[in-house]
Order: sequence, then structure tokens, then C-alpha cells
Amino acid sequence: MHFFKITIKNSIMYRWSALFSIIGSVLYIAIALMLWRFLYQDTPDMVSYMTKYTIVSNIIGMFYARGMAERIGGKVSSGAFVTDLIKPINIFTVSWQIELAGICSDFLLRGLPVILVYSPFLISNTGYYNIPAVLISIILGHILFLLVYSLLGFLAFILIEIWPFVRLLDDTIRLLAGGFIPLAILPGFISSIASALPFRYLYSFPLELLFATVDMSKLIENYIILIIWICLFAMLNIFTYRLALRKAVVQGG
Amino acid sequence: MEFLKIYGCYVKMFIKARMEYRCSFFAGLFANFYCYFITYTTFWVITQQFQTIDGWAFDDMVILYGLNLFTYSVAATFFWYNVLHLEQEITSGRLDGYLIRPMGLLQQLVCSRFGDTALGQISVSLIFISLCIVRINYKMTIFTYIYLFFAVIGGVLMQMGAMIIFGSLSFWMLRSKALADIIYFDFRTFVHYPLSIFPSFIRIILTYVLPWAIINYYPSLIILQKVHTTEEFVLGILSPIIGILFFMLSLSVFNRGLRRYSGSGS
Amino acid sequence: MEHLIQVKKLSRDYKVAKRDGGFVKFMFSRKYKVIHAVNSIDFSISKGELVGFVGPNGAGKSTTIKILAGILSSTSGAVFVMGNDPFKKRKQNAYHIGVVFGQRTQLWWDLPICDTFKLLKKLYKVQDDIYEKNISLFKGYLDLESIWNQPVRQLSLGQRMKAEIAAAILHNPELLFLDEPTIGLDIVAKRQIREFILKLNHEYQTTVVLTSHDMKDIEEICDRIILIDKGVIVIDCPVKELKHSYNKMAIVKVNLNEPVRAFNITGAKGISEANGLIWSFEVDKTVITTGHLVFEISKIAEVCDIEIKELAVEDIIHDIYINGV
Repeated sequence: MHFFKITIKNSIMYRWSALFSIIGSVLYIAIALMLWRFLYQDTPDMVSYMTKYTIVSNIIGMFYARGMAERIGGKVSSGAFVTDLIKPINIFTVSWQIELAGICSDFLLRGLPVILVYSPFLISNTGYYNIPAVLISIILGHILFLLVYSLLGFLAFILIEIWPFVRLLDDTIRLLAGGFIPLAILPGFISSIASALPFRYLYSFPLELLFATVDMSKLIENYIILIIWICLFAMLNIFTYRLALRKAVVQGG
Repeated sequence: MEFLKIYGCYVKMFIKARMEYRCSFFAGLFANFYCYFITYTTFWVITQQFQTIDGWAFDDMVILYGLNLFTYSVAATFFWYNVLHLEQEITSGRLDGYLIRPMGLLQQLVCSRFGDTALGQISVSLIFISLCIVRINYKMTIFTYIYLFFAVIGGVLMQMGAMIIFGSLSFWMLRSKALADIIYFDFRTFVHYPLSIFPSFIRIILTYVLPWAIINYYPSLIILQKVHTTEEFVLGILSPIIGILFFMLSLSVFNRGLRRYSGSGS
Repeated sequence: MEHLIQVKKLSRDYKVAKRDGGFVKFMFSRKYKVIHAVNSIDFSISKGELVGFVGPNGAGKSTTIKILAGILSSTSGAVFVMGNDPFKKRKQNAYHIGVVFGQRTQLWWDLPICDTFKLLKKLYKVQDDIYEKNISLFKGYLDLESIWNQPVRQLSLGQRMKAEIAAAILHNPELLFLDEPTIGLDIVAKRQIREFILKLNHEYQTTVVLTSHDMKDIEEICDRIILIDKGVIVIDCPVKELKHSYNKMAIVKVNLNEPVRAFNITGAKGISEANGLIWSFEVDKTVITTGHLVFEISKIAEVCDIEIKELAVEDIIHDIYINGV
């Protein structure tokens, strides 16, 4: 009985933090919705589109492993990952597993309530297509995100303090991945940069897939490009990992 | 004043010490600079596409956001680290160490860590605001410039006050940072945009309940000559005074909290 | 005020929420229980004394120290430190008080030691000549020369503690509070610090109030010991007197040349090891002296080795913690 009470009290404390983060996300989405509603007030179709876009974009964001860089970077800059080599584990897979666990719990505590709050908007604005393709895209996007940030984590052996670079990456993605502003709205030269970078596969690509019918060959073409990017980053990761390992082992950890 | 001399001495020493890790120092500055540069770019993109946001062109947005960002970053160089994060000083027990010294607690907290990373935000907002003012100079009068000066001071005092109040909450409760994140940071995001685009209850909340609109919205209305109602005019003109009053309120909240901590207030 | 510190009927209470009464009651109504952390204590300390505050964890020592330092207010009673109410005149007293917290740092984390001292000099308004004199004192006695330009965060614990102590006395305070100053230090550092504190007291008549769980600190440094338990002062006497009055017992260990099955000596309770070759005796010195005991033992068997252990302050205090006075 005692344990039960303690667990409840603990989960109430925990629930306050969860509540705060739910409110934070709800506010963030609300501000964006109100902004688009105002900007597109003359075109109700666009309002409907941007409403769906904003809400789903935030949901997609919940599936990306935000802490990967710090997790790996911390171990690399302290040299701790060398001592981990003695254990039969791999720093990448361990960090990934921890992140996946975090994503699940975050989704349950924060994601579901937020989706619930905004479900009326999602339901009233119809027009969802290609759901399986979207899911595949999100999974691939997750892997891409993971690899990009873990690369940054491994680079900690040169950079030591990686938080500024994580921020640089976060902010670049904020603008150029299409999470907040759809890429179609970006003016000329910014739009070309955004198309060249792999980040559009994180938000813009799945969102476009979800809200419009798409032509099979274009779809395959995009998947191929995405997979090429993933392979590229995977190789960069392996390369940097080996360099980091060599440096740490030579130094003595 | 003696405090300023000691603080100046400390800042000099801190920068000198930071410079030993030159790369990381400049990387941090650049990251902050870049982050807010991207935010400005976002506004630019939106105004390119829609021409204006409810009549606010890009230059207007620069002033609106710049007032918010600049006042925030100035306040942050003093209060972000150890006052807003007072929670950590209390739980680590370092607070007692400050109390045995012959200087006021708040002053010591300011002295204990200089917010060097905020310099990145200060530079980016200064650059954008200055360039913008050059462009809109034809609209400005001597009065506007004088007002701008006082509005900035008022805004800085309000941001400082907010940081002090939310930091002081940790005298009463755990996890005050989480509350501050929502009430101070998330709600303040509304004033990135002209409040006229939101339903009017938002503007009322952000004026009379959580006064973040007084930091940048009303002063912008006056500077950009967009004032439409008496209410807006009064709030704008009085913003420096409201800033001073808010700051004084925050000091008394802080002192209340400190008395509670030393056991004589509960 | 002849005494530097004077405490009369000092009490400090805490209100703690009562956690019984079920879960629902906890959420909606709060009943409070009053805890007397310090319960009507009296003592005074004169200039130049070296006082050790001892007591089990949670006994009220840190609360008392905090009240004396002006960090915490008292609930009732009178406290005078250097003639002032320490809480009301916190800043004035601060110029004459130095405090070292063993478990947390008061130094600026990012700055090198030399800069930290320069800042403290400004903060406490220390004059140039006194400053220079103290700095050379620290460099000499506390080995600060080698770490002079290193940031505080790079120091080992021992180096940091020495820097903390130096920082605490830079402004020549009349009163020095030391809260667990030697915790976690190696024996060399501990001895250095103990010697330094004694020297300080000898040269400047600095009054020292020391809290420590290491009884050797108390034994080496303090001439007076105050024991607080459950908010009440249980012992307040010179350290010598404590040892003397509790020193009725001794332990005598003897190695014999031939095994002995049993001893029957009044005043000495024996336990044997190694089949009667080694014997440990708990000796009641009011009944029999250690010398006489050995004499009695040698009547029965030849003693080839002896070890006599007097009770240290640590054993005495341990006994009091467990059994009371």
C-alpha cells in the first residue's frame, strides 16, 4: 500500500512536468495556426491546408531523436566511449535505443494529448493520401536525422563542445526542412538551397506526400535520393567514428 | 558605485578566462547569432510572400522583434545564468556561500556568471535594428529617437524583472524553470508577431496578465506610427514607467523569497 | 560584550508537512508538525577560542552555525555575534567573518585562483599591504604557488580546499567557521590544514568554530568541544576534560609465549584469539592500572608483546552517540 502511494505521488510530480510540456507544445502549434489563419484569411483552402500541415508537422517532429548528438558527443569528448569498448555494446546502438525509449515515452505523455487536443482540426480538414508511403518516409527520415546528429556527436573528438553546432544544425533544419514554412513559400535562392539539402526529407517530403496524390515514378525517385543520403551519412559516421576511436586510444582516453 | 567596479573587474577576468577556449567562445557566440538570424530570415520569407503581416512590413517586423530580442539579451547577460536558474543554486547549496559575503544576494548572483553567450543575440539584433532604422529614418523624429531610447530601457527592465520573478519562484517551489518556460518563454512567442493578427483576448492577456506586449508591441506601435486607439498610445508612452514598476515589483518578490529561505518569512 | 559569540535560549523551529492521514487528505489539507531543530540552547565563545561543534547528523549543528553566520534567522532567543544580531547585521558582520563549507565551493568556478583573490580583495576592501602579506602566507603554508594560475574547476579536492580556506581568511576575519573542511582529503592535506589553522589562531587570535565528523580534527585543533544532539547541548567542556572523564577504559592486547586457557583478573575482561596465545583485555582503570594488569598476566605466562590503546575522542563520542551521556 505504501509503495502504491509513493508511486502515485511520484507520478503526480512527474505529471506536472508532462503537463507543462503539453501546454508548451499546444501553445507553439496554436501560435502557428493563428498566424497562418490570418495570413491566408482570403483563401480558406490554404487555411485548411496549413492547419493540417502545421499539426502533422509537429507530430512528425515527435519521432525524431533529438538528443542523439549530445548523448554521443558527451561520451566522445570525455573519452568514456573508449572504456565502453570493453563492454559488448556499441555506442551508436545504445544511444539509439535510449533515444527510441525517450521518443516512446514522450509520445505517450506529450504527443498523444497534443494530438487529442488538435484532433478536431485534423478530422474536419480531410484529404489524406499515401499513408503507407508517408510512414515509410518518416521511418527513413528518422534514420537520416539519427545519422546526421550522430555524425555531429562523433565530431566531438575535434570540436569538444558541440552544443553550438547542434544549435546551428537545429536552426538550419528549422528553416530549410519545411517544418514551419512550406518549402513552396521560400523565395528563389533559399528554395534552391533547401532542395539541395537532405533536410527536406524530414518534413517537407512526408507532408507533401500526405496531402496530395503523387506520381509513382517521382515517389521512387525521391526514395532513392533519400536512401543515397542515408548511405552517405552512414559512411561519414563510420569514418568519423574510426578517427575518433584512433584519437582517443592514442591519447589514452 | 562599488558594485559596478567589482562587476566590471569580474567581467574583464571572465572574458580573459573564456578566451583561453577561444574556439568554443566564438562558436557559442556565432551559434546564438545564427539562431536569431534564422528567425529574422523567417520573418523576411513571410513578408516576401505576403507583402505585409497585417500591414507590418519586414522593417516593421525587425523593430517589433528587435525590441523583444535586444531587451531580452541585455537582461540575459546579467540574469539568465544564476538568477533565472536560481533553482540550481538553491539545490546545490551554493546560496549559503553567497549569504556569508558582504554584498547583496542578487548582486552576487549577477556577479557569479556573466552571460557571454547573450552577446551573440545582442549583436544580431543591434545589426538588424540599426540597418532598419537607417532605412526608415525618414519616418523618425527627434521625439521618436528619444522615445526609442526610453522604451528600450523600459523593455530591458521588464525582461530583467521577469527573470528575477521566475527565478525567485524557486524559493517557493521546485521546478520553477518549467513554469517559467511556459509563462515567460512560450507565451512571449506571441509577441514575435503583431498582436492584431490574433483574437483580441490574446492581446488582453499579454497586456494585463502577462505584460510581455508592453516590452515590444506598444512601443513599436508608437515608433512606427501605427497607433489606433488611446489605450495603445497610453500603454506605449507609459512603457518605460511600467518597466520600472515591474522591476521594482520583481525585487520585492525576490526579497520576500529570500526572507522565506532564511526562515523569517514563513 | 566580552564574549565574541553569545547565545541565550536560542531556538529554531521548522514546520514540516505531516504526511499521515491518507492520500486524499495530503492533497487537500496540510497539517504541520513543528520540529525543534535547535531547542533553547545557551553558550558563549570568547575571542581566540578554538571550538569544535560535534553531533550526529541532523542534530542541529549546521542549523546553529548558519544562525551564527547570519544565513538563517532564529525562532526565539538571543544571539549576539561581535555584539550584533547576526541575521539583522549580516552584511556588517560579513566583513569580519570567514566561512568554509567543505562540501561546496564559494569560489568563482571559471576563474583562476589569482583572479579569484583579486575579486575577493575588492569585495572585502582589503588593503594592499595586508593583501600582499596574506598572499605570501598562503603561498608559503598552503602550497598555492603551484596552482596560482589554474581555474578553480581544474583543481583537485585537496588543492581546492586549501584555496577555499585561503579565500575565507584573506580579509583577516576575527571569526572563522569551518564546516567539514577536511572532508575527502588525504592525510598530508589534512595535516597541513590543521597546522595552518592552529598557526592562524596563534598569530592573529582568530576565533575558530569547527564542525567535523573527523574526530582527529577536533582532537588536533580544538581546545573546547560542544556536542549537540537532537537540538540540545549535551556536552560543553574543554577537550582535555572530556578525555579525562571518559578515559576510564583502555584496551590492552598481549601476545604470550605459551597459550593460556583463561584469566581471572578483576577489572579486566579478557577475550582470547589464536587458541589462547593472544589476549585482548578491556580494562577498567579505576579498578586496575594497565601496568598492574601486565604484572598479573606475567605471573601466569610470559608476555612477549604488548599493545595498549587509550580511548580516543572518536571512541568516546561514538559511545555517547549510541548510549547517551
